Amino acid sequence: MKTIEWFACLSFEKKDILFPRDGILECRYDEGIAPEVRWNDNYIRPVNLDLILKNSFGFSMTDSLNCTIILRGQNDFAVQTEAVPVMKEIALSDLRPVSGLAADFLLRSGIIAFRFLQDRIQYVVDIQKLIKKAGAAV
Amino acid sequence: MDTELYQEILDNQKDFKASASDGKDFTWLIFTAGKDTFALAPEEVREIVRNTEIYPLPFVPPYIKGVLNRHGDPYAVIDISLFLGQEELSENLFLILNNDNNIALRISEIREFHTAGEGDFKRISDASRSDYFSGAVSYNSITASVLTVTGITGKIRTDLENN
Repeated sequence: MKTIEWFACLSFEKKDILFPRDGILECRYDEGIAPEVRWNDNYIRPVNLDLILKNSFGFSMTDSLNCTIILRGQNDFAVQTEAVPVMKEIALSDLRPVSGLAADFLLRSGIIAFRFLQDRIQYVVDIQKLIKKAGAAV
Repeated sequence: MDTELYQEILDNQKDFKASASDGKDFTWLIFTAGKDTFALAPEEVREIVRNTEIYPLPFVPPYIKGVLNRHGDPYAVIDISLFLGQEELSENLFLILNNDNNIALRISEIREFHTAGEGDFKRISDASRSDYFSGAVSYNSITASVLTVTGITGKIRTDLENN
């Protein structure tokens, strides 16, 4: 049984967005707001992840997208963010899966688990589900 | 010995609950949310939490203000005033409900644990029955509406399914 997982962590003030590192195909920095990124002889239209986090979570952003992350999904997709992903190894027992009344809703929305660290919160997310719930196309 | 003591404690609990259900007296947790006064049976509340941070949740109805951290576990925060169609609350006071739903009610102020006689509780008649209230308790010339947790959680569940 897996007890530890590597996560990519995007930090926004006191909140972190975590997703499995295995899902990352590539990170590109200082790309600016490119309307399309080239990947495997195709072009992918990146999703503005910060805008989704701003609108759905109420995160504060600087609106400077300087990292493009290409992710594995049903179809490979790309997101752009101001945050630089930092890799963290986390014991799965430290995470609290969504539970209770809102559990099913949160899972459908792409929220899998939480971790509280002093005054921080970490959200473990399925980025593709989160983007779809927000109404963006991937 | 331990078994005997355990059984005696159990028997005492049954006697206590039986006397409570005889309709003599019943204790209510009286609290306010905005301008309104509410009552809950104390056993429906696991803990009262003050001054804790609320972290945002995405895509939820406006009356779900986020999650709070209770001993490392997330609890969805329900602004009970906003839920009931009144003004949003700003106080950082929460009732952690004693069930498996992992929810906390945001409230304004705890008034007291009030012991009321049988005649002080007025059940809402079936005709005017509300999903969220089972009745009302008279308290210091104020009427406190008795909340029905199952009705409230049922509505939240429906809202989340439809959202």
